[in-house]
Amino acid sequence: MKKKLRTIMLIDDNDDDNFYHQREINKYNQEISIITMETAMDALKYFKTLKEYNSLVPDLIFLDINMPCMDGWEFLQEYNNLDNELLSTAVIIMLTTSNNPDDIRKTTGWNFVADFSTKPLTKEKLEGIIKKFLLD
Amino acid sequence: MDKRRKSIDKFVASKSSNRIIMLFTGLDCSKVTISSNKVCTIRISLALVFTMFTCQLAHAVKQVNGLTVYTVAIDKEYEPYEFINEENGVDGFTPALLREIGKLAGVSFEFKPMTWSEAINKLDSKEVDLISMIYTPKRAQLYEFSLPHSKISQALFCNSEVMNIKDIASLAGHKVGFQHDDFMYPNLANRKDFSKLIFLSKLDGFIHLNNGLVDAFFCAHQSGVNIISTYKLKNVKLVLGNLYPQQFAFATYRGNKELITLINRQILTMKANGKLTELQGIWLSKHIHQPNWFERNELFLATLVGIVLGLVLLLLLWNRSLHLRVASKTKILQDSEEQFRQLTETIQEVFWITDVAKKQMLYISPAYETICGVPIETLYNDPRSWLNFVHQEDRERIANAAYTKQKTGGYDEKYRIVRPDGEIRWIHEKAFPVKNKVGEVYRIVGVAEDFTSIKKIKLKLIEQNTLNEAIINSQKNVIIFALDKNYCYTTFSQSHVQEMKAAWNVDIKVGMNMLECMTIYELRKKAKSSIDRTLCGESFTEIQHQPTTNTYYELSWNPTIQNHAIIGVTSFVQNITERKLSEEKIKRSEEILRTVLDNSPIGIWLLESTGKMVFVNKEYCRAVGISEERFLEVPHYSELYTKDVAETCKESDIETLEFSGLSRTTEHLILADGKLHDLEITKVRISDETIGVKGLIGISRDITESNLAEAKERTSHQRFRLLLDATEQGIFGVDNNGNCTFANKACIQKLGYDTENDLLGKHIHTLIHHTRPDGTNYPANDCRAYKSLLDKTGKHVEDEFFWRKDGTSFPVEYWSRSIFQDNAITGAVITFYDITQRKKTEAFKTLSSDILSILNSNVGLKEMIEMVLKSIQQLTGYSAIGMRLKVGDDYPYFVQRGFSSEFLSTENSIVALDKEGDICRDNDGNPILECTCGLVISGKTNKTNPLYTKSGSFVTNNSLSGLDFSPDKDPRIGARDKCIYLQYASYAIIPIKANDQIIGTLQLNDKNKDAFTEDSINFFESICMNIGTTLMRKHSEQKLILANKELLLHNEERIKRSAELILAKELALQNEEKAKYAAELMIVNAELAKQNEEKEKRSTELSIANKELQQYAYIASHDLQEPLRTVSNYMKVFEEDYFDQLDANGRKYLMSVNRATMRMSILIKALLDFSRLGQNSSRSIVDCNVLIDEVLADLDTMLKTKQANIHVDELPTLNVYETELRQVFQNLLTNAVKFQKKGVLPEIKISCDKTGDKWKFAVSDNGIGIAPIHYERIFEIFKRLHNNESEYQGSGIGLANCKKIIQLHQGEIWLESKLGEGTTFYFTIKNWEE
Repeated sequence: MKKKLRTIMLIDDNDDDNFYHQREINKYNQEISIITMETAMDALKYFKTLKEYNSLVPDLIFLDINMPCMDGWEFLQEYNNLDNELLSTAVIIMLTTSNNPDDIRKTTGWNFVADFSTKPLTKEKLEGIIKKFLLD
Repeated sequence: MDKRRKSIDKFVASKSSNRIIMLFTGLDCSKVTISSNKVCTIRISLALVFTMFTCQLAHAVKQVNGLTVYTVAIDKEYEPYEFINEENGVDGFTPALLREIGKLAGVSFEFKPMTWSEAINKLDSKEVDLISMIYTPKRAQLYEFSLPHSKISQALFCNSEVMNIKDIASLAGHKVGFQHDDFMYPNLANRKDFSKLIFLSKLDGFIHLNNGLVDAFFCAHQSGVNIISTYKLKNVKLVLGNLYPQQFAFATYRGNKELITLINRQILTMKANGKLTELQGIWLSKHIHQPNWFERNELFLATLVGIVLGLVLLLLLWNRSLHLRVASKTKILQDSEEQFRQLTETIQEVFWITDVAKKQMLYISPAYETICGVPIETLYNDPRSWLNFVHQEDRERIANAAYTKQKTGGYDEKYRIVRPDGEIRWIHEKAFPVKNKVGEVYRIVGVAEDFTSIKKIKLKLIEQNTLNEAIINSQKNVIIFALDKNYCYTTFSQSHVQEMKAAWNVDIKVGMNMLECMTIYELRKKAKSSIDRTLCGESFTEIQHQPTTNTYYELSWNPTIQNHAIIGVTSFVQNITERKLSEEKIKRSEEILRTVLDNSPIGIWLLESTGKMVFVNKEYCRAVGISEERFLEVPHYSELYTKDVAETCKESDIETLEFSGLSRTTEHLILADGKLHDLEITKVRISDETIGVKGLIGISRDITESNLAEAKERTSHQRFRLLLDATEQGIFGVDNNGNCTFANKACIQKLGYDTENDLLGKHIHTLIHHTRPDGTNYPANDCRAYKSLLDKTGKHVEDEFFWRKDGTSFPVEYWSRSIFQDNAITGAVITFYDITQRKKTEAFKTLSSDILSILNSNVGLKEMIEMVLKSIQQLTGYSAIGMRLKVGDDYPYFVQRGFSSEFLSTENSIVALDKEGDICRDNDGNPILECTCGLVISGKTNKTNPLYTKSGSFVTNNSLSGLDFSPDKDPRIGARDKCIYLQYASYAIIPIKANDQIIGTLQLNDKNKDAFTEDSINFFESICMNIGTTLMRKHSEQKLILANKELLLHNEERIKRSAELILAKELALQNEEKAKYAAELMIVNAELAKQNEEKEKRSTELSIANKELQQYAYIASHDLQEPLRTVSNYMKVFEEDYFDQLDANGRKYLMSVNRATMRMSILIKALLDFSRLGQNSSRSIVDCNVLIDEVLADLDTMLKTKQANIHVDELPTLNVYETELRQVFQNLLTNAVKFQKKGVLPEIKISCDKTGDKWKFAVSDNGIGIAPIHYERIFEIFKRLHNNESEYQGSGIGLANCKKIIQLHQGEIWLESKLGEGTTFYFTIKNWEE
């Protein structure tokens, strides 16, 4: 089931990347809400309190792998452990620096991870992803 | 700098914390001019990143130039307390204060800007020493607090379009935002009447508030005010300020008292000398952000322009009004009458003027016609004619009123008129007297309005109300009342009046406040909260107890809604006192029952058919050690038991529920006390037919105690029984009458019975001992076993038979002993053995010695064999016995007993004959012998087949199974199956050997199945050996007499044998030697294995190190890529936003940076590729000619452009790494073409030959050549001989790649070159064998 894209969450410890990615997303569509999480912990907290605070539910998540404290893989582990009710139906895309074959292989182990993409995210890449996984 | 641009910058600067960002949309950045400031900012932030990186590992407190430096976390956006200013510096009250403190105390503070949550985390991990924090007692348990340095208070902000938020109480029903971790949130967490949204930063909250996504937002007062002005949030207003004033202080981690003492001392000093107040004045008294110079100018300009414009406008207006005033005066006079007429004629109301003196209608508006349905002329004719249309009932009143009041004033009447068409209309008429200068009334002016429609609605309303009241009061059992928003009655049923009277002694009326009627405070409070809840839009039902009348009410509250707004509440009340009381009664009786059940020493439970426990008493819970709560919460109680117990329980539940309806079982269970208990469990099916539910009542009684004594006895009996059943001996007991009292397992088995019951109580002698071995009757009175009963002595008998159930018998040895009890014989125990086997063995022993003596006797051969066969048959009773001996090529029976002539006619000869009657022979010329006999004689027996013994005998105890063989699987040769057809169920054929040659067979046939045992066959095989020896002896005796030569020959043979024996000994010795060598070899092997292991370990270590190195390259290139990407991203942003504003130089610089980053990216990728070389690749068979063709095709464009001439020799086909080798050729060919002299066409040659086990390739060109000093260098990574701007470009990794690939092929790469003439690259590679 594809769905309409309203909200994108960026999980990345790199401010500059987040800034650039926001710009590219805005180039694509300015009406998309962007939630930026600088640590995977914050993102996790966000999902856990989603219901309580009536927060926006992201439709698309770009997840960096290499992050301090909790990396992208650990985040996926925790995200998977969330209650079913809490599990958002977001499309997750791993967005990282290198296309390390080990990482790409690891990605296939998670069924809710839709794809693997390298930084920087560009308007064109985003268009491709939306066309592939979401309705817009 | 452009204002807009500035706000973007701020926004960009603020985006770095973790929180929701709603990006501003529609920003136009095109007019921004570039300034060096931005570049500077980038530099600063890079430096900042670097500093932060290097500081990360250092401990928080450090020494710089002997000065103690404390690290302070600064909230990036807590203006004016602490924040990042436009120059990217740390600014605000707390930094200023700390700087001052530092100056006074001689220490230094290093400020680290971060978000609030980061700051808290870093303080917890002691990465920072100090942060500013609002003091709360809870926090004081976690951190050390300094003296407060300022006060901080909260404020409530709301969206300016939201009108009804005035205080915290009026937040109900709104969306309210809080900052994450903010101190206000816990304060209001229990307010459930508004929805709460948490934002990770203040700015987010304010942006949401500004956009109307939340209605209100709590924030620190000062910060909020600052944000509103900084970001120019137009839709936000401050509602309530100075809420919850708090102490603002510094905090450090616990145990760091030293720092706190230092700060406290300075704060006290600064308080005393007024410095603190001064700082507070500078930073905290500004409520409004100071606009910058540009904004101030703008304001000034606006004001100035405003004043000038105002003056001009005033002048214009004044002029215009003068002009107008003159014109209007004239116009009014002219138009007044006309206007009046138009006015009166267009209005709905009737307007009239009468002349009092002339009693004449001066004017009546045309509306009169529409209302009364009569032309106005009638009224001009007769001014009082309107009275005719007034309703009869009103006419007199109105006529009087008109007469009296119209002149005096105050005529204001309502009346009905009846139109000529019969319709009744309601008229509201007013009239005023108009007086002249002398005070006489000379005119009367009146207005009449038709309010029929309003009247009709009113009437309908009254009707409806009456109806409603009737409905309300018709429900005798239901009390209804409705209140408005102020808790005042709007309506109620009569029953409510009575109830209120009874409860509060109040006579209620519409408009009375219901809450004021209630004199008990708690009840009033409760009622108020219920009404308030309902007013918020909730519908619910509650039960209330009225203590004064001891009545229970069930109230159903509903909001009264009109035009989508709640205007009050309606409540339907039911007196449920009776229901409540009966419920309580039931509850009490349930409680009594419960107490009884809980105190019962018997476990009792009740469950639904689904297995869900409905009730379980204390005793059962105690016994099984599971709490009642656990029992009641699980869907099936058996989940709490171990698997096997659960299974048993479920089975018996189903059995009881579905079939029997009642079950009683005894279970042995380990209960909570850890001991094994016997529980008698009774289950009774119950069904509640009214609700169709089936269930079980379970009762468990602990019968362990009562079972214990019984069990003890049973145990000893059991032990005894086990003993009995374990013995090999058959044992049975008899009473004084010779009847069986018990029989052990062995006894039952040996006698061929199924159970002990077959024997118990039966007269045992008649059953098993009725006949003597010779077949004569054996009377019970003679029974020797029985006799022991009489003479009190034990008996031991060995020569009698016992009879089985199936009528067969067996020889026994038995002992009989009498049993004494209280000095009297009560019976006897008989113990026996089946001695069939023993007897048989004895018989074989006898037979063996008989046969030996026969064989050793001096009788003739035939007579001797006849005697042997006769004694065998006598003992064994086999149906037929025969012995075959070799005669010529055939083996006919030499002697036989019991075979029929029919059998012999076909079976005597076993030689296979062909159609002509000639003997068939095999390849060795030996005659082919048929059937099993032939097979045994030929010695071609399959030892693994169970039908044959090791010595080559054939044995079957069930010959029919021989028919099951398919012809190709039949182990026999030319099977004749005669033995089977003549129903010899068992037969055996045993070879007779002489000098290792099979010269005949002993054949034993029996009609019974299972005639042979292993022992008997062994016995016959040994007999046959003796027979063979005897035959040989007989034969040699004859030979001895006849030939001495042969004896000599025998002697020689013997000598030869002994020589062989010596040789054999020698061999044995050699074997021993070999064994010794082998042992030594093993030691050497072990050593080698150990060395191998060591090697393997080392290679594992090496491969781990290799893997680590690759990983390192990955990580290094990843980490290099990241900052590079940031640079290139920002370059792109820069290019997109500012390219138009750059001059030619600026654009050139930008392009250069772009090129450099691009190149860096290429280099890093190349490095990554280099590190990946040879990983995850495998060898394959490659035709190098094809490979080169493909490479040339790939490089086609380049080769054609350069007009390269390429010559390729015939190349081999090799087992190599294809992809990698392709890369080598590609690199070398590219280099050969690229490094070419200007104006010379490239000439390239590829050749190959085999040197040793390797293949040597050469790629030569006529290019620029390479100086010898570079021969080694060029293979190093990133080493280039030409700079980037030269005509020869490249990444500098191609040859390094080549070298690595050649190393992967276990070869070498080198070159020969002459400057200006050309270069030849050589490399060798290994060709792996498949």
